[in-house]
Amino acid sequence: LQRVDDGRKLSLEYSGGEQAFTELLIPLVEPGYRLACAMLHDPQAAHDVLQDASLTAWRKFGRLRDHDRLRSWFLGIVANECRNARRRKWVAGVNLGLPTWLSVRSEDERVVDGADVRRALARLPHRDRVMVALFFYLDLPLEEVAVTVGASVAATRARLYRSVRRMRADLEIQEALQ
Amino acid sequence: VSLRAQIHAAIDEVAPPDPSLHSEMAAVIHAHAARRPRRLFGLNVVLPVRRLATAVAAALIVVLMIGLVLTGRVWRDVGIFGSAQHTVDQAKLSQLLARPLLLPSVPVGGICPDTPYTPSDPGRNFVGGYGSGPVYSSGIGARFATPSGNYFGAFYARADQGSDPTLVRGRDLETNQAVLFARSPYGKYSGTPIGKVVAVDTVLGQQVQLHAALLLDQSDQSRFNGGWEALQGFANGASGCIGFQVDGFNADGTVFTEVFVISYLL
Repeated sequence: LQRVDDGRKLSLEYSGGEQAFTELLIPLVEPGYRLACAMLHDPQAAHDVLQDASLTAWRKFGRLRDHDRLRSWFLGIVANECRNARRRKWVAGVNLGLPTWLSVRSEDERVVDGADVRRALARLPHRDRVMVALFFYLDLPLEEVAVTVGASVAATRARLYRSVRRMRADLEIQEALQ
Repeated sequence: VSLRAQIHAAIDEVAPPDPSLHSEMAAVIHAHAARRPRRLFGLNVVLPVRRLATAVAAALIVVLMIGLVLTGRVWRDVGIFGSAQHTVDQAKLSQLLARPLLLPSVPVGGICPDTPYTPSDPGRNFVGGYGSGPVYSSGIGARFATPSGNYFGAFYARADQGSDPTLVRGRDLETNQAVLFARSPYGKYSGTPIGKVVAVDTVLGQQVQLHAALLLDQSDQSRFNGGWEALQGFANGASGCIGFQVDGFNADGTVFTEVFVISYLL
């Protein structure tokens, strides 16, 4: 991922209008989409969320003061839109992807299959799920995860730790049931 | 296999790559650029239409609610007093108001001549009350004390049907203080205090106007629910030995006067 670090340059570019904004947004589209997929487990819903998030970012960009945190800011918007999307009826439930009996399982390579992981992820509270997705799936540094969710690094670390324990416990239970 | 690898694999299954994503988002932004706030005097003027609309809607709702409350109060006050003025036979009401109070007096510290309470009679669908009929009073209801005096909720019922006005007045038999009537602040079917406002007090957080007489208007069917609620007040200094006089018309047009005495612990 490429970060846009030059705030002054950003401001100058932004003054150029939507074209400049779009150029700034493009590097953020893919991580935003991946975050939305991690949150919703539904690529179509992730598309919709990303559209909403892009427009929200477009409208609110003028209020962004610390342009060094553009990516965190945008991913925070995506996370909020995911929460809104889950509240809407058309995303009544989390789509866990293919049913387990249709997924191709390789017992040697996979301890648990993807559906179980997604199910365990889906059981986490929204904020914890955002943290796990950002840290484990988008591979963001802990500091950036903390900025994105608006928490301290220590609190983020603690919540991540708890989330991982909870996910592992869920996965073990599911394995035992199988 | 690490958890990170598991999560990557699991999410990748539901996150197919989409090469058109960037151009899609760019198109979305450009399509909405037309709605971008215009520049005014060289400044970006942000018109948060949705938020503005929400604020306007909220303000309208607040204005509407306030309007309803105020209108309801005006309607209640004007309507009730209006109905009393327009539907009540004013000649008959004046006739009742002209009747003198025929209440006894009690010497200070004397025995209060309480009227026996007529018990309920389920056979006649009568819940009980003070009085000899056709008007009965529940007597002592909920009590509300204020720095100026004491108020008791009361309920009046008339056993017979009719459309003529009925008048209730009263006074303290020891001190001769007039009983003060107010519209019940909590009741829906209130009697109508009439005459000039002799005092104002605050009961249950509401300002009430106190009158020296209470009209029980049988012709107002919208307020007739088997009876009328009222607030009866006794100013500080009252003894609590209270005489009530009810004047009204019988079915044959003759006037009746009914007197009953209730002891209130003030």
